[in-house]
Amino acid sequence: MATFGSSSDPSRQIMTQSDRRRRLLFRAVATANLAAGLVYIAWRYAASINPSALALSLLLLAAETYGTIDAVLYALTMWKPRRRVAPPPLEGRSVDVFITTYNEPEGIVRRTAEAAMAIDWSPLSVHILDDGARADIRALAEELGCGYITRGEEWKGRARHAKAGNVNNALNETDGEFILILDADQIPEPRILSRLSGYLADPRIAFVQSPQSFYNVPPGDPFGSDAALFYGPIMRGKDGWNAAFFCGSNALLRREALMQVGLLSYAETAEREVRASLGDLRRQARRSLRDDAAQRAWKDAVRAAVREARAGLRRGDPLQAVSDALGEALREASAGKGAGKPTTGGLDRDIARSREAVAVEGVSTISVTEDMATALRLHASGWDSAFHSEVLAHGLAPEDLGSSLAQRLRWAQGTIQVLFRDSPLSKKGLRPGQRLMYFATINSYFSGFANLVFVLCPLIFLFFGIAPVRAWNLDFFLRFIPFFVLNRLMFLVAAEGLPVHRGEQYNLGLFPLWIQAVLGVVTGREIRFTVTPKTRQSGRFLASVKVQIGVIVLTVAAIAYAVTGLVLGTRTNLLGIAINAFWGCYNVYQLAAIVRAAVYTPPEGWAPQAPSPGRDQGA
Amino acid sequence: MIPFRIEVEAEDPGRAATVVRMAGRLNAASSPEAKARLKGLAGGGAKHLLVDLSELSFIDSSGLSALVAGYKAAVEAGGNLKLACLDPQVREVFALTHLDRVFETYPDMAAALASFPPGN
Repeated sequence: MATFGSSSDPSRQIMTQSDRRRRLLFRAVATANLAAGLVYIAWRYAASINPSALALSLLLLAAETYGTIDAVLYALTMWKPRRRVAPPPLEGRSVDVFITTYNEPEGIVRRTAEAAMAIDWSPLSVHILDDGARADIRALAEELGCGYITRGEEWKGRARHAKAGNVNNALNETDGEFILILDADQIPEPRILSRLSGYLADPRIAFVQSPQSFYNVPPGDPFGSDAALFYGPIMRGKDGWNAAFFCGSNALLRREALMQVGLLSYAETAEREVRASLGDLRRQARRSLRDDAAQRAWKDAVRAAVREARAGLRRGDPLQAVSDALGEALREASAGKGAGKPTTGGLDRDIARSREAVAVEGVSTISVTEDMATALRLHASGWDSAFHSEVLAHGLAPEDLGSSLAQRLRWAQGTIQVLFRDSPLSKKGLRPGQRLMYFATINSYFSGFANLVFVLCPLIFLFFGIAPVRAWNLDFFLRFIPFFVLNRLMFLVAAEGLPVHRGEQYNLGLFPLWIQAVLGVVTGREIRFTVTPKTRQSGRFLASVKVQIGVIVLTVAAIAYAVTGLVLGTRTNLLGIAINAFWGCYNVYQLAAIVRAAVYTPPEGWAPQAPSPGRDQGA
Repeated sequence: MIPFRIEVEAEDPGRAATVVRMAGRLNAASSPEAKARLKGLAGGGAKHLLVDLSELSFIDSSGLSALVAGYKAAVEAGGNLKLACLDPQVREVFALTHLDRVFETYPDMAAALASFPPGN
């Protein structure tokens, strides 16, 4: 169980001998893997397509190409990891602690708030950001003597933007130079600010992220919650490209950086809305039905005014000047006799972002993963970031499959939203390495389509004898096996001994969820910010894994069918059936982990122990 | 270091806007006060606000956000907020955050006052 004050202190290590050796080993394995991958995939394109099953051949080839690209991106992520030394604390700077909560039980918020109040820092002000506006949380804040912030009147009838809106609201109400953001369940250690603040001594660094660690992961990690691989090797790798992500909690942020990118995005959005309103105004004039002289004159005047406003925008006139000129022109147009048509009377409300409660949003609201979108904005504006790999807060992971899947769906959809709304591929200001790191993360969420193909191929062969390659022969094995082995080896070396097995099972096994995430964003079905429950939801979740169960049943049936065919002599391709049976068994094994998680109940007498801040650090 | 000050000039019925003077440093620490005053004026019927920044020596992004919040409040009250006499440092931050593409700024108070619609 996690406790405070663990004996080792990883952040003090810099590029040690073993780090250097591991990096060298990784680069060697990754290079060999990429070479083998290139040989394999080139051969697949050149000589292995089965002309009698062209569609299936091409599908598998596309899926394998995706897998190869994913491996390249992974290799690049891990190419130059950065392990940092915590700089000396930046004493005396004011810090606001934001504890974000919506519906978590009072007991959970209390533990976090008490620990936050005990953070060893001055000047410190702790605020509970209660988006649920609950009486018991307000009473808790009063009892502990910390701040309590809820949404004000200005939010009535306006988009709330979930957690992003909650934080933006609080940014408006507080004035600390730095902001420590904590999810309601993330219990901070007293030393968290002493460890993190030093990074912000570098005026170019906008935020420093520390790991999220979960003290309630049941034995064997049935839900794949353990995030040590991400908050270790992967984040150190991204940090090496100056692309450490902000992950929503356990990060210390610079207010000036947030407000600055908020202003930049405000200016950009205001201009976009002004342009949209000009378009609306033109359409409004075109559509008006009455057709008499006065109306025609009015229409002409509106069109001329819009033309002039657009010319103003092209010239780079301030939006306010464009709005004033348009308002004036429209007033004149309407003053003409007989023209009773109401007009928008200027664009000031667009410029003032009247549809929003807050005009300047420090935290991006374009995605349900506001953290990633915000980091992207910061990086694109030239800010740097840092990852501090030592665990400084201890929180709760979902304790049932339903909550775990809902959380993953949100991450996936939010990440894909970022691709569509603020694409890191085209966004100005990002350095190439940063672009790659964002793309690597976004790309990984498209794996569902590839894995669907990988699940279907053995089924199709075992049932119908249709092969997606010309032959499973020596030519194939000579190229496939080195790539496969080296690829496994590369992931193993990159993991630095951390358990990766469960994570891989979830990556493959959740292919229906990843596909759902992509389709949900592409078709524009509304994505809600779901607050991940911090307490175990009762019940079984077999309905959530029906696709996985279906694939398992079909695969087992397919193997039985093909083997029966061999026995009866109606099928002869022993090698093909053996390979596909093995492939199918591998799929079943991965999928079974998800099905098991659906019916999982924690062992009798198992109860997670919340860490208590005073225990090891009291002296 | 000059502390932040905000003063509202006495109403003059002949003027098209209420004049607000800011002096010193408008940063994270002083922006809540500035924001509250601007919102209070806009909500209290002043509608058109003209902010004189000639004595403002420093502004950061929080300070600029306070001005935007004041502008938002003024527009929602049916009025406007304009800025005049920006110090070079203030002008620089203004350009850096692209606010110069949004807001018109005026070199002197007379020009700024003339830009408001008459008779308000």
